[in-house]
Amino acid sequence: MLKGALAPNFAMSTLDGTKVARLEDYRGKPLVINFWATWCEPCLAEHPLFAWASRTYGKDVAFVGVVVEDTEANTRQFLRDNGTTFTQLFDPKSTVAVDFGVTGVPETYFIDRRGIIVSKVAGAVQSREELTASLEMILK
Amino acid sequence: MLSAAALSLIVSVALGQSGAPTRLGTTPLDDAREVRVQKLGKQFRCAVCQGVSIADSPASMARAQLDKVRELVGEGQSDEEIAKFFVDRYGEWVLMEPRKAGAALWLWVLPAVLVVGGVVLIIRAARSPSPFEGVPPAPKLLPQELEELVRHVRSDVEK
Repeated sequence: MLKGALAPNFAMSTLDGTKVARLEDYRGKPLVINFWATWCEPCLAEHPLFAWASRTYGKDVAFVGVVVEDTEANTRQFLRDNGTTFTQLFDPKSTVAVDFGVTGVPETYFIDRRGIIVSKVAGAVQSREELTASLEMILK
Repeated sequence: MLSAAALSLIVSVALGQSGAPTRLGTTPLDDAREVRVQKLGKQFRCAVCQGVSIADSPASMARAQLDKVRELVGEGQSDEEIAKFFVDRYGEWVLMEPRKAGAALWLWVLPAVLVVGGVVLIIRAARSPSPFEGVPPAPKLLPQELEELVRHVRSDVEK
């Protein structure tokens, strides 16, 4: 849902606690928001795909991971073990998840440069091809 | 239908595998508004549960949804505006009771239409002439004819 609507505003701390990221920070650039949690197996399975996409498309598209229904400690440990190639934000009370209408993790929103939600994938992204097709839609 | 993602979350929670922290909701509003929050909470389905309202579910996501109701009530939004917030994000599915408007109206009207239609059909069937009307009654058999017939049937059955 919310497809074709403006993405809800948000303000979330980065996991390293160094800054607060807001939707407006990404204005003018396509944005991918991936809601995930460390205890969610499909999230872990798709993580390398987003790492690949952020390396490949990172110049033109902003990638943001939003950790929901999890603890900061779990997430930090996961990222220490697996590394990350894009910004990770923390939604401790799932408020941003509710604002987007997230129904489970993983769930990924593709937002164009005007801030409009073009598509969403509920469940894990399965392949580079699937991810590329969604990215091409927000790069138009 | 449940998404794979929702199912993943439900299964994980059900099996106790989730690392998701349990948490308390936000501070309740004053009594009158909190009654409204709880009443509204009964109307919306928990995003990660099956058939449970956000007021009745202990799931962390349900708490977050109820917190959103509390926030919107605190902002002075009407019941309709709050319902629209949830329907915009989750679809009509989020309503525990379908709305009596639009396409969902059929869910309320259709059972009544079917019952009335069924009654009309039964009444018409009862009033319509019997399909056997005009067919002459079967002739009465004499006792010896009846005995002959029984013998005939019995021999057929025994073959």
